[in-house]
Amino acid sequence: MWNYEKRLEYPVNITTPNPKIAQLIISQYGGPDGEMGASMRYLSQRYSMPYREVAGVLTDIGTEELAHLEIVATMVHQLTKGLTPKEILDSGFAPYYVDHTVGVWPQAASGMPFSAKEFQVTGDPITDLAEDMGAEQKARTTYDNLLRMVSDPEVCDPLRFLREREIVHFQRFGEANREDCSKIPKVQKLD
Amino acid sequence: MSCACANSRNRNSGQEQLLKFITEVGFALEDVVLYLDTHPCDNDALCYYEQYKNVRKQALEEYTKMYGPLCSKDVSSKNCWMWTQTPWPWE
Repeated sequence: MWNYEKRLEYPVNITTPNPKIAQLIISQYGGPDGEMGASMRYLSQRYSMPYREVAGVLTDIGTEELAHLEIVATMVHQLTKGLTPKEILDSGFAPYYVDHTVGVWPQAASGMPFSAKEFQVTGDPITDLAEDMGAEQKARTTYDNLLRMVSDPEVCDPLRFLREREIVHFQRFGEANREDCSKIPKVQKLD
Repeated sequence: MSCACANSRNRNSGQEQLLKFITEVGFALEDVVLYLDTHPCDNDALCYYEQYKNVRKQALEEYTKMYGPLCSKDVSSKNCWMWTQTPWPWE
């Protein structure tokens, strides 16, 4: 089971709403390389993972991704607070607004809804860990792309934290891959 | 809302500071947990984990006592259900 703490893993205090940027950042909520896919990928891969240590890495990183999901949702929420109809129309936020008002719904920046098709659970430890390492780099790229377009320091600060965590997770998955998957017994050769 | 604890929704600066401290020590712990998953015999990391585990526990207890619960299982208010009255993280 999980325990909830009523606080963010990293603080978010955005004082200037910006619906244009909210529409981009929402990709890290429900987009192809977002936090929802990340948490579901790692938590779902645990059951077929034959190594105790790797199941631990998947559990703990998957749990941290849930905390990141809450950070991203908080950013989207604060960036869309108190908008006027004119601001909604002028910023291009209207198509999202008409379906979701200012609720936070998992979609990509392109408007594509979240899908489990964005991740795999193959049941093969090497394949899953290789996907996980790729996934961390893809998420890091997305944060890099966001950071190139965002100038508000109150928005950049939590984005930088999240970007850095992708690099740490990549490192841990790499270690898990090296330490544990190398224990797989060699297939016996035929004479 | 007639309940008296509804007043606890605005955080004061002492509360902000303690919450920031919990975030910092909590993060130190979250990070070393991942490290220990792949380095389970690193003695320095095990000591670091022990140290921050205790600091975090103390800070959480102090925060709960002074400003209300961060976990739904730490509610101590007898007259009023505090859990939903303190700020949500996105507020």
